[in-house]
Amino acid sequence: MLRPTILLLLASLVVSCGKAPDGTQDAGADPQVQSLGQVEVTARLVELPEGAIFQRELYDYATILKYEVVTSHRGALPKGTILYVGHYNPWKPRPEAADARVKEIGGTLRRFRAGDLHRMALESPMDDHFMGGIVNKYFDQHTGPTYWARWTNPAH
Amino acid sequence: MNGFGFLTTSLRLGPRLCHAFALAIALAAQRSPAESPAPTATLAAELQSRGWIVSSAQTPRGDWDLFLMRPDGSQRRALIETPEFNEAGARFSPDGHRLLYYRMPKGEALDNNTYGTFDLVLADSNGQHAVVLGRGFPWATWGPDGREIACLQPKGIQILDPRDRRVLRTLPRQGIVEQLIWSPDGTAFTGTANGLGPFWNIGLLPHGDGTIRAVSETDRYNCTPDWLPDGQHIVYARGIIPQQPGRAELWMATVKTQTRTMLYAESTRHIYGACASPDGKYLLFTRSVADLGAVGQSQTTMAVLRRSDTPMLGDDSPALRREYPHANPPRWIDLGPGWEPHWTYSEAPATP
Repeated sequence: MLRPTILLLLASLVVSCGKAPDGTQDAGADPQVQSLGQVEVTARLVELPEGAIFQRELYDYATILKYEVVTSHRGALPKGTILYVGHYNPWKPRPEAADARVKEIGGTLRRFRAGDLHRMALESPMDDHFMGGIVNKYFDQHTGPTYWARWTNPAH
Repeated sequence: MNGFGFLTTSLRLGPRLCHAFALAIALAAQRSPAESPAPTATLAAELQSRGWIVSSAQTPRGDWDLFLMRPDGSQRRALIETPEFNEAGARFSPDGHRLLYYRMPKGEALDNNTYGTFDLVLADSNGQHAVVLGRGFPWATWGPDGREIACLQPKGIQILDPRDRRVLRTLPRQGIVEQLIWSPDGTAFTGTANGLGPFWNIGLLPHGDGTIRAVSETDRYNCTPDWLPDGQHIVYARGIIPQQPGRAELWMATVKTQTRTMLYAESTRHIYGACASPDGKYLLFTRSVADLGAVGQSQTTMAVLRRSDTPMLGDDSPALRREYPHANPPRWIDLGPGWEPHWTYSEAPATP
């Protein structure tokens, strides 16, 4: 007869079947994040620069946040890639972020916190999808593509 | 002339102006007694015959229509009256014979940052022969000879022939996202742009292969740029540094020297939407109690001053005086309620 600790170990192996070694394969998955955009990644939010997210009802704006790719689900963004991603009205929970101006965004993330993992469906370049004010604390730090977040879920 | 001069003039113009009259009555109750600092009679006399101003203003019905007035505020009259729509963002063609403006359903909130994304309408400058081009022509601006317009699309700046809507060429927009204005000599664009700093700034984009550059400071919000007729200066609203107090001020950038000058500031009003008279001698701008975006509750009025009287402070704020010790005292004319005004010296707008 197997001891209870061994049973628990076997059970956890069954539950984790299908996950990547880092445990992010399924976390945050839903039909939207798995189908929208050209790229789908799980990425860690590297930091929240001061002043990048603020609540100001006067303006609808997007903010650029810096990510490091942990898992690539669709598209060609290998693990470790640094991404710059635009989020629309980032002070709003993602389920409430879409409006008449920007309709096709969403997700289940409620709040951006440095260090968190996000599973995101992304478009690129951002300029093809959003024409409005952008807060970009990294404007002089990168020249590559900026991605546009279509769907953002927590992935932890 | 005091700030209510347009009232008496409007009364002489007959029953067709009943809406303008009702609007003026409503506004008279709202306006501060401090409007239009004296002495302004000489300035009003200078301005009275210098063409026409078009602007958007709210009617007693609650919608926003286009109004025409003399640059001293007299002869105010409705130009486009559509109770089911709001109209905004009107600009005369360079010869003053044509008008472009945006139209949206009455239920859409008028907003400094979105009005140019609705239906583009082209008309004669007296409001006749209006043609609705629709929503595919964001942030349109007249070309230097009025035979072309430029629009701001996600894929770039499109130059079109407005007669058949044919796209003639497309240029990279290089971060410009709204309030696109083509220079009077056709050599460049200005607009509110991303990517020049951490926030939105005023960009100067040469027409052709050039690279956009900032003409405003880049550590604060800036918007509503427009060219002076000489094509060498850009007026714009110099906004606040995010999360810090302050008001938007009227500033001017000099293209060649890359210098910037404060033109007009007030401690209790946000200054936006500036444009110059066709000879560049006068400046027209808006004064908002509440900051823009949304215009509806902002209590926005218009004013005009001589450019030669700038820099100018609109009030006695010690803080502003410390910042601008050599600025002139207030000397401007209140033009009453209005938003995003534009100016022509042509008489065509008032010609049936």
